[in-house]
Amino acid sequence: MSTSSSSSKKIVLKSADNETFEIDEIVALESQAIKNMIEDECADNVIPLGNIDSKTLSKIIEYCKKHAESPKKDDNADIDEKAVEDLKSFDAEFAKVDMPLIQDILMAANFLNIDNLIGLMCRTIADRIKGKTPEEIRKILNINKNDLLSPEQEAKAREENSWAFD
Amino acid sequence: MFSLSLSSGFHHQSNKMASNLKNEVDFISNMPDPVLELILQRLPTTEVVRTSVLSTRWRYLWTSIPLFPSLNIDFYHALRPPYITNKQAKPLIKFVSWALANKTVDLDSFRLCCVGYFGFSTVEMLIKAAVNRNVKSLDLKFYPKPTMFDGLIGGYWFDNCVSFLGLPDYLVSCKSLESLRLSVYQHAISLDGCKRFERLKVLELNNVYCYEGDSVETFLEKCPLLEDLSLIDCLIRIEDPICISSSKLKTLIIRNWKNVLYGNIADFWCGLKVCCPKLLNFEYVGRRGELILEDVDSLKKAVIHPEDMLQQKISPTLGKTVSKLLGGISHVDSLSLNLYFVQCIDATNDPQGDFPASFPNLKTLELTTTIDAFTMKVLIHILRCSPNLECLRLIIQKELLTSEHWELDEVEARGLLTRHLKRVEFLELNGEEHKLGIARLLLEHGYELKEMVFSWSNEVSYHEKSGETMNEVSECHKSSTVKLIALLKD
Repeated sequence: MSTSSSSSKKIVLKSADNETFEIDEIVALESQAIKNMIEDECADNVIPLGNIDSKTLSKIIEYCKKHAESPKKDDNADIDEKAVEDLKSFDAEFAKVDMPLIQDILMAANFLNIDNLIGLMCRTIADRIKGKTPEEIRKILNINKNDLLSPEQEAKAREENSWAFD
Repeated sequence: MFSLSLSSGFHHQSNKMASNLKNEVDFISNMPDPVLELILQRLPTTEVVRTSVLSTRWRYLWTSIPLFPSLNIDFYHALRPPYITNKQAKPLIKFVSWALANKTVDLDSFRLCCVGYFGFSTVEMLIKAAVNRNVKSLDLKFYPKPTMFDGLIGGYWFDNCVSFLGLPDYLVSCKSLESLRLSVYQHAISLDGCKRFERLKVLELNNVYCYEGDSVETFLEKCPLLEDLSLIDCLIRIEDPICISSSKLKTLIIRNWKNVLYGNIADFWCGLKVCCPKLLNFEYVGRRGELILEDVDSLKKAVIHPEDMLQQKISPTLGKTVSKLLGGISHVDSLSLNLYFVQCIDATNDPQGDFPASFPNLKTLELTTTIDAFTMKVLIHILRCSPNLECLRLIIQKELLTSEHWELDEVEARGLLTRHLKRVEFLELNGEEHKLGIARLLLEHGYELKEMVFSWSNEVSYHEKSGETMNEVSECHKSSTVKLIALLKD
C-alpha cells in the first residue's frame, strides 16, 4: 500500500514475509512505538516488523491511514459530527473480520502501541463472547486444552460465585 | 539498524508469529493483563465473573484489576428461573460488597435489580458503599422483606396497608449523584421531609406517595439542578391539583397517577398544573383529570394519554378544555394522543372555537383512533391544520359505532393531505381489512409519501396476513416511489 502526496516524509515498513509498505510519516505516527523510534532518531528508512505478516500489516496501515486523516477530538472541540460518524462506521466495517485476523491485529496493535486499535479489537472480541457460555467462549478464544481448570477447580470457581452461573 | 522489539515503552509479549500457529495457541489469553481488562470492561458484570472458569489464565484475572467502573446486576436476566437461593445470595452480596469496596476508581453507575432477595438493611449497606465510591448513577429495584421493616427510614403502615419509605439522607446528600432511579415493590416512596439533592439531574421514582398537597412542589425546590423527572405509579392523597413548576426541568413524565382516599383508590384524579419554561418533553399517561400546561414555550414533544376508567359521557365543556389544552401546545414538533383525547376533541361541538387553527411545527403525529366517522373527522381536522407534518403514526382500534360509515370524497381527500407527509406507520396491526382503507387513501393522494410501514404486534397474524395485506396495498399503489415495509414488533 503506498500513498500519494510526494512532499511529505515517507516511512517504509517491512513485514515478516519481506513485503515493504511505503507510507506517509503522519500515518506511521499513529503507532506510539514508531513515533518513539522516530523521535529518538533510531528509525532507519526501513523499519522491519519481524512478527507482523503482510496481511495483518496492510490492515493496520488501512486503519492508521483513516485515523490519521480524520480530525482528532482534542484538536478542535467542535469537529463536525459527520466526521465522527464516518470514523465510527469505518471502525465497524474494519472489525468485520474473522477471529484469527482479529487476534493478529490485536497482537500487532499491542506491539506497535496503537491505543485506539487495541480498544477497537477488544470491543470486538467482547461483542463476540457476550452472552456466550464458557464452552463457547473457549472455542471462540481458542483456549488451549492444557490450560483448562481441573474439574475440581472449575467446580470450586462456580461455587464461589454460584449466583453468576445458571 | 535498530530492532523494534528492543525499543523501550513496548508492551511485553511473545514474539512468535501469530499466523504460523493460528490453530494451536490461544493468543488472546497471552495478551498482557491491561489488554484483557479492556475486554472484560465491555462485558456485563455477571459475564465478567463467569470468565473465572475459562482457563487458568482467566481464573483470577477479573479480581486483580479495577475493572468495575460500573456494576450492573439484574437477576431477571442473570438467572433462569429468576429467583435466587440463600446459597447463591451470600456469595453475591460478598461479591457486590467487594466490588463496591474497590476504591481505585469512582463508580459510574450501579444498577441492582434483585426484587425480593434481600432485606432493606443489605440494600442500604450497598447503597452506602456506592455512595462512598462517588456513584454518579444509581438504579435500584428491590423489595424490602417485611421482616426487615426495622431498617426502614420512617417506614410505617399506612392507609390500605401501604408502607412507605422516605429517601435516606445519605443518598440525598450524596455529592456525586446525578441520576437516581428507584423502584421499591409494594412500598411507596415518600417525598416528605427529604433534604436537598444538590447535584441530581435525573430522577425516576416508581410508587411515589404524596401525602401533603405541596410535597411535589417543595420537593422540586430541593432539586435545583433537576432536568429529568419521572413519577411512575404515583399515589396521592389530596384533592387539589399538583403544581410542577421549575425553571430547569426539560423532561417530565407522569404515568398512572392515582388518588387514594380513605384507603381506597379513587376513580378521579386531582389534576396537574405544569409551569416549566425549559420543558422539552412532556408525557402524561393515566386517569383523566384537569391538566393545565402553562408557560411551556420550549415544548417539543408531548404525549397525552388520559383515560376514563368509568367511561362516562364526555361533556362539551370537557371537550372545550381539551381543545384549549391543545391550543396551548400547538407549537410542538411531535404529538401523541390517545383515543380518549380524540373523543374529547369530538365532543367540543365547536371545532373552530378553542381548537388551534394550526400546528405550524408539527412533524410527527401519533394517534390512537378508530375508523368511525367522528374519529376520522378529528384526524382529518388535525391533518388539515398541520402544514408541515412529515410522519403520521396510526394505531387503529375497533370501531366504537357500527352504524356509522366513514367515507371521504375525492376533493376532500386531496385537500386534507399535507404536501409534506413523507412517512406513514400503522402500528399494532392485526390484519383487519377495514384498516386498510386509510392506507389506500394515503397512497392514492400522498404525493410526497416515501415510506409506508405496517407494524404487526401479533406473530401469528403477521405470518398469516401480512403478505396478503401487502399485496392488497400495493395494488392501489399508484406511485412506485413509495416503499412499503412490513414489520413484526413485540
